[in-house]
Amino acid sequence: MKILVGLGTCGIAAGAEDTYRALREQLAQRQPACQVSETGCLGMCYREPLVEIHEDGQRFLYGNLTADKVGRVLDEHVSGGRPVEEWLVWADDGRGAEREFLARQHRIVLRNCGRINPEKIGEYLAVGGYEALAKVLRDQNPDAVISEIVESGLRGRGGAGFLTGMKWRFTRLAPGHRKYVICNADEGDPGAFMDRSVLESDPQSVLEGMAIAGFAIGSGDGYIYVRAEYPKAIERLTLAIAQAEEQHFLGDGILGSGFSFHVKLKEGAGAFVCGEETALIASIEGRRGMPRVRPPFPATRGLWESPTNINNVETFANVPWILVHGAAAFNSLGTANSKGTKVFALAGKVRRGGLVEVPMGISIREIVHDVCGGIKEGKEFKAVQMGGPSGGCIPAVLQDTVIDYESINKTGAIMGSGGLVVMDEDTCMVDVARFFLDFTQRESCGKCTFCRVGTKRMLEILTRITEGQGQEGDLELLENLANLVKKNSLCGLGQTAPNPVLTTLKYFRGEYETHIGNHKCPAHHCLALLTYTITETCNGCGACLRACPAGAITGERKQLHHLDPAKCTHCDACYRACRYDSIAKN
Amino acid sequence: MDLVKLEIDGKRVIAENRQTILQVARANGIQTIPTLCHDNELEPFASCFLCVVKVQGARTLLPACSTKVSAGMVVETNTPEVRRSRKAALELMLSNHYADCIGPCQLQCPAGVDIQGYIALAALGKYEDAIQLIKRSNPLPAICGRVCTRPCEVKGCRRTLLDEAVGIDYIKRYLADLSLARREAPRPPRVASNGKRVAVVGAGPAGLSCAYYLALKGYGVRLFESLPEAGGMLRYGIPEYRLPKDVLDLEVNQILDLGVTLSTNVALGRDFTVSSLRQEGYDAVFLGLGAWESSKMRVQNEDAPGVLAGIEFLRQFGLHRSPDLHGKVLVVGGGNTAIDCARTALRLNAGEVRLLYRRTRAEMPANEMEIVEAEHEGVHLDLLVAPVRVIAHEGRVTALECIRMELGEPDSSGRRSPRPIRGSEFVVDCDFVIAAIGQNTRLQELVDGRVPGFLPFGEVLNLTRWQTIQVNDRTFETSVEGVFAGGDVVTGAATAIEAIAAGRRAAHAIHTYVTTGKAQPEPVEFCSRKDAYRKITVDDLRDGSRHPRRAMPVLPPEERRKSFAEVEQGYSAEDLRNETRRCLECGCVSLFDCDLRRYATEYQVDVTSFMGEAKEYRVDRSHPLIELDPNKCVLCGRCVRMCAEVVGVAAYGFINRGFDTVVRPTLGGSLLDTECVSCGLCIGTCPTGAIVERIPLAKPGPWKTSATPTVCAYCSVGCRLSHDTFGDTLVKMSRREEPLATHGYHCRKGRFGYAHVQSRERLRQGRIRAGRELQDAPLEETLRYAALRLKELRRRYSGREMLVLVSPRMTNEEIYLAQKFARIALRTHNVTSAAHLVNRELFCPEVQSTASYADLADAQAILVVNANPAEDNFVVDLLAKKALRKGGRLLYVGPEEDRLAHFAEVFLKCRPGTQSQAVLALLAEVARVAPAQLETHAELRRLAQSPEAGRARESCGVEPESLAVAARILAGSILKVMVFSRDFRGRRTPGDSRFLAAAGEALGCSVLALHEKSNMQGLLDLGAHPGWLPGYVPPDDEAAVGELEKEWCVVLRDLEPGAEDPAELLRRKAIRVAVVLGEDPLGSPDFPADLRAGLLAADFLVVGDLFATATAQAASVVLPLSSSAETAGTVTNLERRVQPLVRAIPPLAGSESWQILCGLGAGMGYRFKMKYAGVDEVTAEIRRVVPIYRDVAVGSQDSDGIWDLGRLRLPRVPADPAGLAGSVEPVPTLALDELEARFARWFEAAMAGARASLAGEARGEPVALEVGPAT
Repeated sequence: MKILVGLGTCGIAAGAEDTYRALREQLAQRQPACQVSETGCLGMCYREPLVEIHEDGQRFLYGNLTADKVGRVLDEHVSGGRPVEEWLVWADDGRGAEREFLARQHRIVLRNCGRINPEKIGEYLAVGGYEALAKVLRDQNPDAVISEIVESGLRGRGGAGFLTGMKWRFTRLAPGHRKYVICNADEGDPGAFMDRSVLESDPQSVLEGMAIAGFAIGSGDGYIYVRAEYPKAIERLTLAIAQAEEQHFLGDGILGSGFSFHVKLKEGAGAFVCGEETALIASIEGRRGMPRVRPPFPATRGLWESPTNINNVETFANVPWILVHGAAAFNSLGTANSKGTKVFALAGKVRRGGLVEVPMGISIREIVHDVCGGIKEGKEFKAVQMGGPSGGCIPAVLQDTVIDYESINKTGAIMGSGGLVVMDEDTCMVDVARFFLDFTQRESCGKCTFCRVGTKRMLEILTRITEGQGQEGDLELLENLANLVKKNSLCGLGQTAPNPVLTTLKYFRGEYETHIGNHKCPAHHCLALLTYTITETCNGCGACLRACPAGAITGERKQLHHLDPAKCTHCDACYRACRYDSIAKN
Repeated sequence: MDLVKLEIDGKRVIAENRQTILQVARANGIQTIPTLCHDNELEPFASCFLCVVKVQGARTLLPACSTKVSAGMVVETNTPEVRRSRKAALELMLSNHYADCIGPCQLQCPAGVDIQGYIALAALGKYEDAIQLIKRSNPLPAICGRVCTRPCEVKGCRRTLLDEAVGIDYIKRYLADLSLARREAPRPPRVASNGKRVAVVGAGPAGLSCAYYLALKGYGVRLFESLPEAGGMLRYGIPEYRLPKDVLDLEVNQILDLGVTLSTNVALGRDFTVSSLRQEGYDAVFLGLGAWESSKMRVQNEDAPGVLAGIEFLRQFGLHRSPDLHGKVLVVGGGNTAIDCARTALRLNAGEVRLLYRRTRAEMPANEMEIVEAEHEGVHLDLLVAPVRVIAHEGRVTALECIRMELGEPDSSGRRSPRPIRGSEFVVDCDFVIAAIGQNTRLQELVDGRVPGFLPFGEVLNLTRWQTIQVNDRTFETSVEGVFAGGDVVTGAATAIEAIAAGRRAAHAIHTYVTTGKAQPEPVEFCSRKDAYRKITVDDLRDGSRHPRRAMPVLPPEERRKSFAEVEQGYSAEDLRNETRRCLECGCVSLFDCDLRRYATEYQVDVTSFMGEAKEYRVDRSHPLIELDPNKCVLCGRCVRMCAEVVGVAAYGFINRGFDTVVRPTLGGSLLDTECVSCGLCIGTCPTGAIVERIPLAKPGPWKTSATPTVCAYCSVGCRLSHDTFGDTLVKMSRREEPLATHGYHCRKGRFGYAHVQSRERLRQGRIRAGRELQDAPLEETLRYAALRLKELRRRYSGREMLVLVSPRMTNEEIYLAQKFARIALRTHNVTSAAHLVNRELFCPEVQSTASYADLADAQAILVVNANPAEDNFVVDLLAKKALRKGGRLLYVGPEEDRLAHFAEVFLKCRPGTQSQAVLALLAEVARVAPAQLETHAELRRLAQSPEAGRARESCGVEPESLAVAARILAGSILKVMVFSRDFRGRRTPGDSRFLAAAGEALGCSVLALHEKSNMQGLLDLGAHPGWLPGYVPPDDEAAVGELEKEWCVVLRDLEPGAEDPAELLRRKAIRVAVVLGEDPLGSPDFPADLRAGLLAADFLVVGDLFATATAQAASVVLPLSSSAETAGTVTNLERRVQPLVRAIPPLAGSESWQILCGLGAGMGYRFKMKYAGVDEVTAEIRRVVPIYRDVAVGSQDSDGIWDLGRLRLPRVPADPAGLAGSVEPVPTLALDELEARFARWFEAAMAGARASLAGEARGEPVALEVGPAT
């Protein structure tokens, strides 16, 4: 019997370390032979802490298994042999409440996540790790590797979707005596955590992908540019590199071949723009992370002026699988132009939030409703924000759009790195646009006029609208500015920053107009636009009266209270204080 | 590189495919692409997005600065879409630009006079330039200096937040009076007639102003005046005690002097009409008729005798027809006219004068100062009183019935309106009532048809409902074709300055109307204003210390009542200096060279479009020379990149992200905390006023300067710079953005070291020794005296006893004339530079630069030895770095790792004084790894293989690996340059220059031999040397000397040979007569004592210099030389490039140095042999006499500007290995020079002060940093 505890950042945040400790302590007393091991993230973040029990080839997955529940599981399942059915989320025997979540997924990138111990290279090797690299080094045919990747149809998972094999080929063909491979692990989109999860749960697959890329393009040096905000990922990567070097999967003369490949970690300082490849290169070189004019592209002039290939974590994680299973296996999945799978980080008002990997070609509806179980609290599905702050809002009416680079682009959103924020009827689309723009505005590197000042002015307009100060002509000004910013920015950050605004304006213009014209927020979200009233159901408990900082509420105890709208500051305190739904906001 | 064909704005062009659209467009004369972030010397950055262009087929507009051209590209640079996008970019930038373009004083001035500019000129003592600046906007400064209502001070001046407004008007009056008083003051020349005629009706301020500006444009102007004399309201409405008639006459006459004709006593409608003017063929008419009708009080008995109309009263008085005023006079009204009436009445023997006004004193429209003066003189104010009825007895006024008033609610003008208090009527006895409550025009009678044929048939002159002429408010066009109007007749009674402004603006419109058929308004430039963002407070001022305003001296009140003598007496010079210092310099120093403003004007930017939050930053004045105002920064990053890429210092960086991004000294501190070298290249590249120089003048202007190209006077690099001048003032030096030769680079000396030109310590006349004293004497007299004495001494002493020392900073022409003077007038070959006396190494003609800057910037390998270019020849350092950016590799030989050595790929660290040995070791190493390299240099090959080379390798101590790497780099490179300094100031070996030059050649390097001083090359080329004549001609070359004799018309062959070592002559005290030009050997601590004694022992010492140097103090005669800004000619830089100097300002002492030298020669009897009509003739003679200069294309920035070494007749001496042993420490030649020492003193003091101030601030004891004007 073997017990696995998910110790990714998401698990740790949910208390998995306590669970892990409890398991070890209690097992040490009862059943020392039973092995407790840590693993990464299975993606079911909404159910963390997750504990998986392997027994005779059967797997039982428990969700929300906090430390206090450990005793019962040990008693009934480990000792008693009777799985605790009510806490079971998934089991090989068909039991479990959350089967749908995993059933609809197709795991290539996340193949080992939550399955192996990321801190032990042996477990990676046990599931076929480094077979691809070994094969590549045996064949000694870089062009064949590149052809295989080209044929697989793998496109860059960082967002832009450029054909990975082509990028490798350009770098290979570029003249230069020294070349570099960079893994972009500067996952900056708010709400996106695919890369973190892969790095925490299966770092070796990324290293293997990088080494293969290095061999293919003729590079002996790799950099992983990883956010300093991912300490767990950095810790495990550092360990993984050491272990891989020890076992000669990295370093000089890998696996006895003439190929050497060294990987260095470079911690980013948390600038979103450093996800842009030229800014990332500048940052590695010790300069301010600021994008530069392209061309020349990094493939011809990148790090230290040398040809450089940059792919993101998810892209690299795909590479070993493709080389083991063949391009055909990969490109049999997906649509005409988008092959393989895509990992999404689901957040927002969806029932099952977490990490899912689905084949390309699946529809948004399927992801939201089937994989993720629809909207929380039975509310109405309104839209998804795809691609983070660079992406756009896809409204519910377009939920049959399939996951495919081109189809998503057509809606005005982008595939992006895979952040998917689900919004329900209570979400104000103006505020959503404001939220994302606020992010990009702060994260602009400040170089281009339109991105630096234009987004600021857009943000001011949006803020004005959500505060009820919108004016006639604001939408035209906003749209005009958005288009100018889009067209007059050097890098992707500026070029895409207006997307949330443009798509919400496109699909939810009425909502904007209501804010400006009627001074109302249809989603009842923008506090400044709400009118608070106390309804007849008030029983005079006085909670709201005590909560109100402005003294706007009056009323005798046990009597219907009254709210003076002239004094109300729209702070929402009464609404939150009322336990009888007697405060209405309109 | 491929050539591609493309089309830009319909023009087919051919370009290289590595060029950008911007480069190609500019190269083809297409100047319609604006850019803020691009600098030719920097890599494309593409951040401002102003340079966007439309490329056919492209999805979006593309930035031209970074988009490469490709075959078949079709580019449009100026489509409406492109312009819209650029405009939006500018509007966004300017929505976050918390800055003032011009000061609020100028903004408030109706005529927009450049107040800050003229105050700054006044502060510099440039009074005439100041008055000329005023007159660009206002032709009547002396008048305005007395009568203006001063909106600039009252509403404009920010000093009012602190204490009191700057006395702007008083300053103006001082300047104007001074100019009027100076007979020789320059007057604008009469302009050649353009054949067009304009009739100006009404010779008041509007008409006079209009006439003035039209006359300056060449129009024939006739002024028609209905009264006996010109001046209008200025003469007949303003009493003499405020504006003396002679001041008025002087300024009016200045206008008439321009050729304006004046017809008086002719009235429109009576003597002529608009139609008649048109019939007479005037191309346009300007109506400046004024508002001469007093408003009625509209009370009973108003027409009774004794009731006078205010303006009419003043006019009658002006016409000397005033009534016999006596007894008690009541003046009704609160404006300036009322005050004028009251004060005039006082002076006309009125017993008592009371002024009745219906509101309170605070609401009185009259100037506060006028009211105060009136009260001082005894006028009594009756406030909140209005007339109700005139009480007349026997048909004459005896009293005025009045009513008390109270103030009600504010009306539309914001003033509280007065309301009568019922029942408060009262009666005031009086003898006269003067009603001065307003003025109207007298147009109705002209246009209502009473004047037959007043207007051309079918035309109508539209009036407003206030009976003023209706005009287009920007072009001043009336409804009648070709008729313009301005002044009171348009605005109703207003101020003189408004009328003057209208006259000027109308003149512009008339000019465009006459020349193009369509009247255009005066162009309006974009103007950023801080108060558009928020109200300015005292904290915004650049200086918070209080200094009271200088009071205007006035006549005592008791004296005033007796006469119409002018009350205000005017400022003294001391008052003026104090008052100018009070100006807070609110406007931007970069006003006239700000690209942002230029584009904002061009694209008609409207900042209100995108107004929102704006950042506010403190202006950083911690560096003594460079001022940083991040408020004005557009984040183009040019300074950041210039400093990091070109200079290699990285003193600036971007800080923060998003909207908060700001460019600051690295890590956010002061520039003093960075590696900043104060080169000032950041200033030159900044497209706005965010980085400006703190110029070493009392006030920084700004002024619209003219740029004169020049060559830097400091080191021998010969950077091209600009002298930026305003009038006769050298305001600053600026970068010339020329992508050639020195690439627009410069160092701090070039940029900031120009204060000496206008130093108060400059010699302005000659000095002659009388006993122990040197006494000032006019230049002519000094020259006569010096020549006489020299002539006398020449008879007494031989040429061996004469010595002429010439500064290597003088121009080629000056040096040429100095040696010619020595050879023909003093009959001696003993002419050289003081540097020669202490360092004979300098004078070996076989050591010449064989490389150009282009070679250096393109070099694949650079070998630097015996040089510290980062300190001494900064731009050579930058050019070397340019080569490194392109992949060049740097080898550095020296005992210490200095700044450039940091950039070296191989630093060959040797023992001090063994650099030559290190080079020999390197030579030997190259001979070993690539023997073919030395094949053509047998002698060096032998040397490289000799035991000496082995010993050198040992003694220099360079690591063998470094030698090997360096040798491999040298052997593997084709384009190689060796750099060494002939004035190297470290320990060195004798004869090293010759050795290095030869070794460089053997290594396949071309050589760049640096000098310290700007024209050392020219000095050598032009024969300031005892051993050779101009062009390195040996005195024993008979043919060449024969030619020279013919040219100079003298016999030269009988001259005694020059001293081989002139220093020896001094040592022996054998020199009896010495002429020292531009050098200060006696002031230099490094000038050996024995030489010093030798020079002092001369019987007669003539010194020419800019300053009274130590040498000059010891002179018998001192001549005031001209600086390089004050003379024309040529200089030759270390590439041997001959570059022109252009005179930017007149010489301070009246003559240019070459003229002084010729004068000296003439005085000695060589009137014809040293006679030149201009400096060009000297240049021409040089070209005839000096073969190497004959075919040089002077000023050319390619190889044509460099004289051809192949023409040098001297045999080139091979390597001189003799000097490889032993080392010497040569005397720094720099110390022999006052110019450099002055700058160094000033710079060090300024930096030390700034550091102390910064340190004090850090300790919480702020010390005000005052960078004194460099003197």
